[in-house]
Amino acid sequence: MGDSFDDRSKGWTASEEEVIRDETAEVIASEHHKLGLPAAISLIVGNIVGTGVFLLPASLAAYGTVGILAMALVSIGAIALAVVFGRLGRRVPAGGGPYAYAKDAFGEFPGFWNAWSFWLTAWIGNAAIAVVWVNYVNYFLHWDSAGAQMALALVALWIPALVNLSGVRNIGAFAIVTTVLKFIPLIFVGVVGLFFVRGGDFGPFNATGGNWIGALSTAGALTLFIYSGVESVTIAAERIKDPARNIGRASVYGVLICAAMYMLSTVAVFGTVPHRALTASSAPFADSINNMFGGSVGGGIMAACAIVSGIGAINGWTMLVAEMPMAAARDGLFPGVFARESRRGVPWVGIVSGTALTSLVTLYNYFGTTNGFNKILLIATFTTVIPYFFSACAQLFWLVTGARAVSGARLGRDLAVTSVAILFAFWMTYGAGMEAIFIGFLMLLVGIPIYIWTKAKRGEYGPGHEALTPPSGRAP
Amino acid sequence: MGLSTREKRALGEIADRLHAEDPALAHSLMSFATGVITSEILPSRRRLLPVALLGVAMAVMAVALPVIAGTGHGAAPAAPTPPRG
Repeated sequence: MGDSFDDRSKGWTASEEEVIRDETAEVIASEHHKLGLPAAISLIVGNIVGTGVFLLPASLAAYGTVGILAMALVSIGAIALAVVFGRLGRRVPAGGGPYAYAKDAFGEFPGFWNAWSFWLTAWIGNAAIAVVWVNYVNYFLHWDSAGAQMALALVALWIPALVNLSGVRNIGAFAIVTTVLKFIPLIFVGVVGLFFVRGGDFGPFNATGGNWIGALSTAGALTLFIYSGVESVTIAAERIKDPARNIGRASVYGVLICAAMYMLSTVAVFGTVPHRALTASSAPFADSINNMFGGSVGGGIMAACAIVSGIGAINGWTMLVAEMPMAAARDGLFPGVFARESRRGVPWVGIVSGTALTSLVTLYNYFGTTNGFNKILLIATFTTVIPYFFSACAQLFWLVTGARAVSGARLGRDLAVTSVAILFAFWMTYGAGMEAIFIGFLMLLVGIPIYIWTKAKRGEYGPGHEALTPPSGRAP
Repeated sequence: MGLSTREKRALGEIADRLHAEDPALAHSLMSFATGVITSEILPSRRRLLPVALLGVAMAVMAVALPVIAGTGHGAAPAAPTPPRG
């Protein structure tokens, strides 16, 4: 620092200096409790890589190596989406991310619909992670009764909730630790596995028996959602240091890291596990490790990795399940109770209510019907896409209306990237499937009464009798 | 978005007061509604072309994706669960 505080404060009165010192201390304390670039990247990577990745190579193997090509195409779309989120985060570095972008570009109602849609996604999706997490824990514990599994699921949900309630710094630390721990085995398989690859293990390019374009399309639909969470940092923008700069960097770096990990590990698993065995595998990464080094320790290592990965993902998504409604509640577009912050500066109502709702959905899995649980999960599949589509369209809106001061080659480049992001989000919507779109859209409609309720409570339209007393000489 | 009753009433009161206190200014301001009402630059057709092309691309995708996948409109792909990587 070139000049000291005392030097700059010459000429001010003692009380003015005290006020300035207090304000400076508040700013420093506030910044101190925010997430830096490494924590922001960890939040994105931690949220993108949950528990689904551990089965992905086996699912793709059913289509042949065309599945790797499909993943590469999806990765390009996800990178475009990350770039768009980076641009949006620079333009509107406000909490709520997609909510703020849709509201700024299209108005209050689209903004609310994005917040509502994301809120559903966040707490319903956590139930899916928790149930898969319990399966990995049971690799070691073998607690097979429904009650015991429910108890484990509650541990998976409420430990991250407690971490979230303890403050932003702890959320960031938890995200960094779990992301590093989950990444080491995955990247190990991806890099070291390349040295054990056998060409004959890859299997056919197209294993479906149909045409390869159809196989590419269907395999692509399977991988469309592997980058869900790319928007994480935009939603928690208020918790990020220097958001105008770091949102873009964290979004792009986070997705690039995940893309490298996905591609490397999938190629390595394809090349170390014979195709026929891979299509039937329930633990492809474990099979890959066992084939590389012999023995059977791979299962335990990857189960432990999945446990860390799952609870890390729930930690990050629990943060978002509260941050999004808080941003909307501050604008009077979500029930005001969601805007309340605890002494530690976290939106405790959103954290507790979101985790409670996730617990109820999880309860339904163990004590209701599995089919019903899967139907609930479909809601999250469709509602994931809404914020992506609206955000990319908001960027396009600003580009073509000239609200963003870009022109020439840069405008062309931005338009191209934004168009790829929009088409990718559109493909994701198709990939969600007919049933998911049907149920998800019904749940979007459920949000409209909430919108009416919160908007009416703002009191802007006044009590009914005001409309009967217009100002003199003018119609209301 | 339409103005609320309260906002309309507040604007009406401002207009009434302006008419009463400075009729000349009120008359001058009224002329704004008869000419060009904005000084913002409207997007040119050239800038809107990508939007039109994007709409066409989305329409093509909506029709082509089910055909390419060989499933037809009645059977979109099964949703991946869980929906996160």
